[in-house]
Amino acid sequence: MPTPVTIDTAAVIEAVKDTFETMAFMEVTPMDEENRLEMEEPLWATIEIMEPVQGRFTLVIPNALAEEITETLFISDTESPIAENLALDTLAELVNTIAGRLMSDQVNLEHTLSIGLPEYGRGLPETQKGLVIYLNIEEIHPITVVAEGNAFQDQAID
Amino acid sequence: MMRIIIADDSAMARMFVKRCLEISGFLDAEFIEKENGKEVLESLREQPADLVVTDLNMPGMDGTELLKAIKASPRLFDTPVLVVSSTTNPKKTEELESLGAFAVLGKPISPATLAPAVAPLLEKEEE
Repeated sequence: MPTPVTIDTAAVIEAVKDTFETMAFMEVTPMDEENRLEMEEPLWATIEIMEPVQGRFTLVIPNALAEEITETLFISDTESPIAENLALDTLAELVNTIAGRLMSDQVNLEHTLSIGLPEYGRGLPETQKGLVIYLNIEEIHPITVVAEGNAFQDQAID
Repeated sequence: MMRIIIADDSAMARMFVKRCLEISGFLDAEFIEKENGKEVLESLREQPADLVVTDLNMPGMDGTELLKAIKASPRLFDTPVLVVSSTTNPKKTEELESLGAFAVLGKPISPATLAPAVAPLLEKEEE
Protein backbone atom coordinates (compact mmCIF):
# COMPACT_ATOMS: atom_id res chain seq x y z
CA MET A 1 0.00 0.00 0.00
CA PRO A 2 1.52 3.39 -0.98
CA THR A 3 2.64 5.59 1.90
CA PRO A 4 0.62 8.79 2.50
CA VAL A 5 1.99 11.93 0.88
CA THR A 6 2.48 15.17 2.79
CA ILE A 7 3.91 18.29 1.23
CA ASP A 8 5.11 21.22 3.32
CA THR A 9 5.70 24.91 2.66
CA ALA A 10 9.43 24.50 2.05
CA ALA A 11 8.82 21.91 -0.69
CA VAL A 12 6.34 24.19 -2.45
CA ILE A 13 8.77 27.12 -2.31
CA GLU A 14 11.61 24.95 -3.61
CA ALA A 15 9.52 23.86 -6.62
CA VAL A 16 8.60 27.47 -7.38
CA LYS A 17 12.20 28.63 -7.02
CA ASP A 18 13.61 25.90 -9.23
CA THR A 19 11.05 26.53 -11.95
CA PHE A 20 11.45 30.33 -12.05
CA GLU A 21 15.23 30.12 -11.88
CA THR A 22 15.47 27.50 -14.62
CA MET A 23 12.82 28.80 -17.02
CA ALA A 24 12.99 32.55 -16.43
CA PHE A 25 16.40 33.04 -14.78
CA MET A 26 14.66 34.93 -11.97
CA GLU A 27 15.34 34.87 -8.23
CA VAL A 28 12.53 33.92 -5.84
CA THR A 29 12.43 35.05 -2.22
CA PRO A 30 9.82 34.34 0.49
CA MET A 31 7.77 37.29 1.77
CA ASP A 32 5.72 37.68 4.95
CA GLU A 33 2.02 38.27 4.40
CA GLU A 34 2.14 41.60 6.24
CA ASN A 35 5.05 42.85 4.12
CA ARG A 36 3.82 41.66 0.77
CA LEU A 37 3.71 44.05 -2.15
CA GLU A 38 0.50 45.03 -3.84
CA MET A 39 -0.12 43.11 -7.04
CA GLU A 40 -1.21 45.06 -10.09
CA GLU A 41 -3.21 43.43 -12.91
CA PRO A 42 -3.11 39.90 -11.50
CA LEU A 43 -3.28 36.84 -13.73
CA TRP A 44 -4.00 33.37 -12.39
CA ALA A 45 -3.44 29.81 -13.54
CA THR A 46 -4.63 26.72 -11.74
CA ILE A 47 -4.16 22.99 -12.18
CA GLU A 48 -5.90 20.02 -10.58
CA ILE A 49 -3.74 17.41 -8.92
CA MET A 50 -5.39 14.01 -9.26
CA GLU A 51 -2.82 11.41 -8.18
CA PRO A 52 -1.23 10.50 -5.78
CA VAL A 53 -3.01 13.25 -3.80
CA GLN A 54 -6.11 15.21 -4.64
CA GLY A 55 -5.88 18.95 -4.64
CA ARG A 56 -5.37 22.07 -6.64
CA PHE A 57 -2.37 24.26 -7.23
CA THR A 58 -2.82 27.92 -8.18
CA LEU A 59 -0.33 30.59 -9.11
CA VAL A 60 -1.20 34.31 -9.16
CA ILE A 61 1.29 36.71 -10.74
CA PRO A 62 1.19 40.29 -12.04
CA ASN A 63 0.66 40.76 -15.75
CA ALA A 64 3.95 42.67 -16.00
CA LEU A 65 5.89 39.63 -14.77
CA ALA A 66 4.14 37.26 -17.19
CA GLU A 67 4.97 39.62 -20.03
CA GLU A 68 8.58 39.98 -18.90
CA ILE A 69 9.10 36.21 -18.83
CA THR A 70 7.40 35.80 -22.19
CA GLU A 71 9.49 38.55 -23.77
CA THR A 72 12.69 36.97 -22.48
CA LEU A 73 11.82 33.71 -24.18
CA PHE A 74 10.26 34.99 -27.37
CA ILE A 75 13.04 37.36 -28.31
CA SER A 76 11.68 39.33 -31.22
CA ASP A 77 13.01 41.88 -33.64
CA THR A 78 9.73 43.71 -33.59
CA GLU A 79 8.49 45.98 -30.83
CA SER A 80 4.96 44.64 -30.98
CA PRO A 81 3.42 43.95 -27.57
CA ILE A 82 3.25 40.39 -26.32
CA ALA A 83 0.00 38.80 -27.37
CA GLU A 84 -2.43 38.58 -24.49
CA ASN A 85 -2.86 34.82 -24.73
CA LEU A 86 0.89 34.25 -24.82
CA ALA A 87 1.40 35.77 -21.37
CA LEU A 88 -1.40 33.56 -20.01
CA ASP A 89 0.07 30.56 -21.79
CA THR A 90 3.39 31.30 -20.07
CA LEU A 91 1.68 31.39 -16.69
CA ALA A 92 -0.14 28.12 -17.44
CA GLU A 93 3.13 26.40 -18.33
CA LEU A 94 4.72 27.70 -15.12
CA VAL A 95 1.92 26.30 -12.95
CA ASN A 96 2.02 23.00 -14.85
CA THR A 97 5.78 22.70 -14.36
CA ILE A 98 5.71 23.69 -10.69
CA ALA A 99 2.88 21.28 -9.83
CA GLY A 100 4.52 18.43 -11.71
CA ARG A 101 7.93 19.13 -10.23
CA LEU A 102 6.41 19.24 -6.74
CA MET A 103 4.67 15.90 -7.18
CA SER A 104 7.71 14.26 -8.79
CA ASP A 105 9.92 15.34 -5.90
CA GLN A 106 7.58 14.37 -3.12
CA VAL A 107 6.12 11.03 -4.09
CA ASN A 108 7.71 7.62 -3.84
CA LEU A 109 8.40 5.17 -6.62
CA GLU A 110 5.17 3.28 -6.12
CA HIS A 111 2.94 6.30 -6.70
CA THR A 112 1.31 7.17 -9.99
CA LEU A 113 1.44 10.84 -10.95
CA SER A 114 -1.48 12.53 -12.60
CA ILE A 115 -2.35 16.20 -12.99
CA GLY A 116 -4.94 17.93 -15.12
CA LEU A 117 -4.61 20.54 -17.81
CA PRO A 118 -4.05 24.14 -16.65
CA GLU A 119 -6.85 26.71 -16.65
CA TYR A 120 -6.15 30.40 -16.50
CA GLY A 121 -7.65 33.86 -16.44
CA ARG A 122 -7.31 37.51 -15.54
CA GLY A 123 -8.02 39.05 -12.13
CA LEU A 124 -7.94 37.04 -8.93
CA PRO A 125 -8.97 33.37 -8.79
CA GLU A 126 -12.26 32.51 -7.09
CA THR A 127 -10.65 30.40 -4.40
CA GLN A 128 -7.71 31.33 -2.25
CA LYS A 129 -8.21 28.73 0.48
CA GLY A 130 -5.57 26.30 1.61
CA LEU A 131 -1.85 26.78 2.03
CA VAL A 132 -1.15 30.34 0.84
CA ILE A 133 2.45 31.37 0.23
CA TYR A 134 3.64 34.86 -0.68
CA LEU A 135 6.84 35.23 -2.66
CA ASN A 136 8.75 37.93 -4.49
CA ILE A 137 10.36 37.56 -7.89
CA GLU A 138 13.50 39.61 -8.40
CA GLU A 139 12.42 41.57 -5.29
CA ILE A 140 9.91 43.62 -7.29
CA HIS A 141 7.14 41.28 -8.46
CA PRO A 142 4.86 39.79 -5.80
CA ILE A 143 3.37 36.37 -6.54
CA THR A 144 0.95 34.20 -4.59
CA VAL A 145 0.90 30.41 -4.52
CA VAL A 146 -2.19 28.59 -3.26
CA ALA A 147 -2.03 24.85 -2.60
CA GLU A 148 -5.37 23.24 -1.77
CA GLY A 149 -5.77 19.70 -0.48
CA ASN A 150 -5.13 17.57 2.59
CA ALA A 151 -1.56 16.75 1.56
CA PHE A 152 -0.39 20.35 1.83
CA GLN A 153 0.74 21.35 5.31
CA ASP A 154 1.80 24.70 6.63
CA GLN A 155 5.11 24.19 8.40
CA ALA A 156 7.70 26.64 9.63
CA ILE A 157 10.65 27.25 7.34
CA ASP A 158 14.15 27.38 8.77
CA MET B 1 19.54 19.63 -41.84
CA MET B 2 17.87 17.78 -38.99
CA ARG B 3 14.10 17.90 -38.76
CA ILE B 4 12.84 18.11 -35.17
CA ILE B 5 9.20 18.05 -34.14
CA ILE B 6 8.30 19.60 -30.78
CA ALA B 7 4.90 18.64 -29.36
CA ASP B 8 3.37 20.54 -26.46
CA ASP B 9 0.03 22.29 -26.03
CA SER B 10 1.85 25.32 -24.58
CA ALA B 11 3.53 27.73 -27.01
CA MET B 12 5.82 28.83 -24.20
CA ALA B 13 6.92 25.25 -23.52
CA ARG B 14 7.58 24.62 -27.22
CA MET B 15 9.70 27.76 -27.46
CA PHE B 16 11.59 26.83 -24.30
CA VAL B 17 12.42 23.36 -25.67
CA LYS B 18 13.48 24.92 -28.98
CA ARG B 19 15.83 27.38 -27.22
CA CYS B 20 17.34 24.57 -25.13
CA LEU B 21 17.89 22.44 -28.26
CA GLU B 22 19.55 25.36 -30.05
CA ILE B 23 21.89 25.94 -27.12
CA SER B 24 22.59 22.19 -27.00
CA GLY B 25 23.91 22.27 -30.56
CA PHE B 26 20.92 22.02 -32.88
CA LEU B 27 21.41 25.52 -34.31
CA ASP B 28 20.73 24.57 -37.92
CA ALA B 29 17.81 22.26 -37.30
CA GLU B 30 14.37 22.75 -38.78
CA PHE B 31 11.88 22.95 -35.93
CA ILE B 32 8.24 22.03 -36.44
CA GLU B 33 5.84 22.83 -33.60
CA LYS B 34 2.70 20.78 -32.93
CA GLU B 35 0.08 20.98 -30.19
CA ASN B 36 -0.71 17.29 -29.68
CA GLY B 37 0.17 13.77 -30.74
CA LYS B 38 -2.35 13.61 -33.55
CA GLU B 39 -0.74 16.62 -35.27
CA VAL B 40 2.68 15.02 -34.89
CA LEU B 41 1.54 11.80 -36.56
CA GLU B 42 0.01 13.79 -39.44
CA SER B 43 3.32 15.60 -39.90
CA LEU B 44 5.32 12.36 -39.73
CA ARG B 45 3.11 10.79 -42.38
CA GLU B 46 4.06 13.62 -44.75
CA GLN B 47 7.75 13.68 -43.87
CA PRO B 48 9.83 11.74 -41.36
CA ALA B 49 11.69 13.49 -38.54
CA ASP B 50 15.10 12.97 -36.97
CA LEU B 51 13.75 13.59 -33.49
CA VAL B 52 10.37 14.02 -31.80
CA VAL B 53 10.32 15.88 -28.48
CA THR B 54 6.98 15.48 -26.77
CA ASP B 55 5.16 16.47 -23.63
CA LEU B 56 2.94 13.84 -22.01
CA ASN B 57 -0.02 15.86 -20.81
CA MET B 58 -1.73 17.18 -23.96
CA PRO B 59 -5.39 17.36 -24.97
CA GLY B 60 -6.42 15.11 -27.85
CA MET B 61 -3.65 12.54 -28.26
CA ASP B 62 -1.22 12.61 -25.33
CA GLY B 63 2.50 11.85 -25.38
CA THR B 64 2.20 8.23 -24.26
CA GLU B 65 -0.30 7.45 -27.04
CA LEU B 66 1.98 9.21 -29.52
CA LEU B 67 4.97 7.18 -28.39
CA LYS B 68 3.00 3.93 -28.74
CA ALA B 69 1.76 4.93 -32.21
CA ILE B 70 5.28 5.75 -33.44
CA LYS B 71 6.77 2.55 -32.09
CA ALA B 72 3.89 0.49 -33.55
CA SER B 73 4.52 1.86 -37.05
CA PRO B 74 7.13 -0.03 -39.12
CA ARG B 75 7.85 3.19 -41.02
CA LEU B 76 8.22 5.43 -37.95
CA PHE B 77 9.62 2.91 -35.50
CA ASP B 78 13.19 4.23 -35.73
CA THR B 79 12.23 7.85 -34.93
CA PRO B 80 13.82 8.81 -31.60
CA VAL B 81 11.20 10.10 -29.15
CA LEU B 82 12.36 12.29 -26.28
CA VAL B 83 9.75 12.81 -23.56
CA VAL B 84 9.81 16.08 -21.62
CA SER B 85 7.13 16.17 -18.96
CA SER B 86 6.28 17.73 -15.63
CA THR B 87 4.95 14.38 -14.34
CA THR B 88 7.92 12.06 -14.36
CA ASN B 89 9.33 9.83 -11.67
CA PRO B 90 11.45 6.67 -11.89
CA LYS B 91 8.36 4.48 -12.28
CA LYS B 92 6.99 6.56 -15.16
CA THR B 93 10.42 6.85 -16.78
CA GLU B 94 10.82 3.08 -16.73
CA GLU B 95 7.37 2.65 -18.28
CA LEU B 96 8.12 5.14 -21.07
CA GLU B 97 11.53 3.66 -21.81
CA SER B 98 9.99 0.21 -22.04
CA LEU B 99 7.61 1.65 -24.63
CA GLY B 100 10.60 2.84 -26.64
CA ALA B 101 11.31 6.39 -25.47
CA PHE B 102 14.80 7.53 -26.39
CA ALA B 103 15.07 9.52 -23.14
CA VAL B 104 12.77 10.97 -20.49
CA LEU B 105 13.40 14.37 -18.87
CA GLY B 106 11.43 16.13 -16.15
CA LYS B 107 10.36 19.77 -16.47
CA PRO B 108 11.81 22.26 -16.01
CA ILE B 109 14.50 21.22 -18.47
CA SER B 110 17.60 23.28 -19.13
CA PRO B 111 20.39 23.09 -21.70
CA ALA B 112 22.46 21.40 -18.98
CA THR B 113 19.97 18.54 -18.63
CA LEU B 114 19.02 18.35 -22.30
CA ALA B 115 22.50 18.40 -23.87
CA PRO B 116 23.70 15.04 -22.51
CA ALA B 117 20.42 13.40 -23.54
CA VAL B 118 20.61 14.55 -27.15
CA ALA B 119 24.40 14.30 -27.55
CA PRO B 120 24.21 10.85 -29.23
CA LEU B 121 21.92 12.29 -31.93
CA LEU B 122 24.33 15.15 -32.64
CA GLU B 123 27.28 12.76 -32.86
CA LYS B 124 25.32 10.58 -35.28
CA GLU B 125 24.49 13.64 -37.39
CA GLU B 126 28.12 14.72 -37.53
CA GLU B 127 29.35 11.31 -38.73
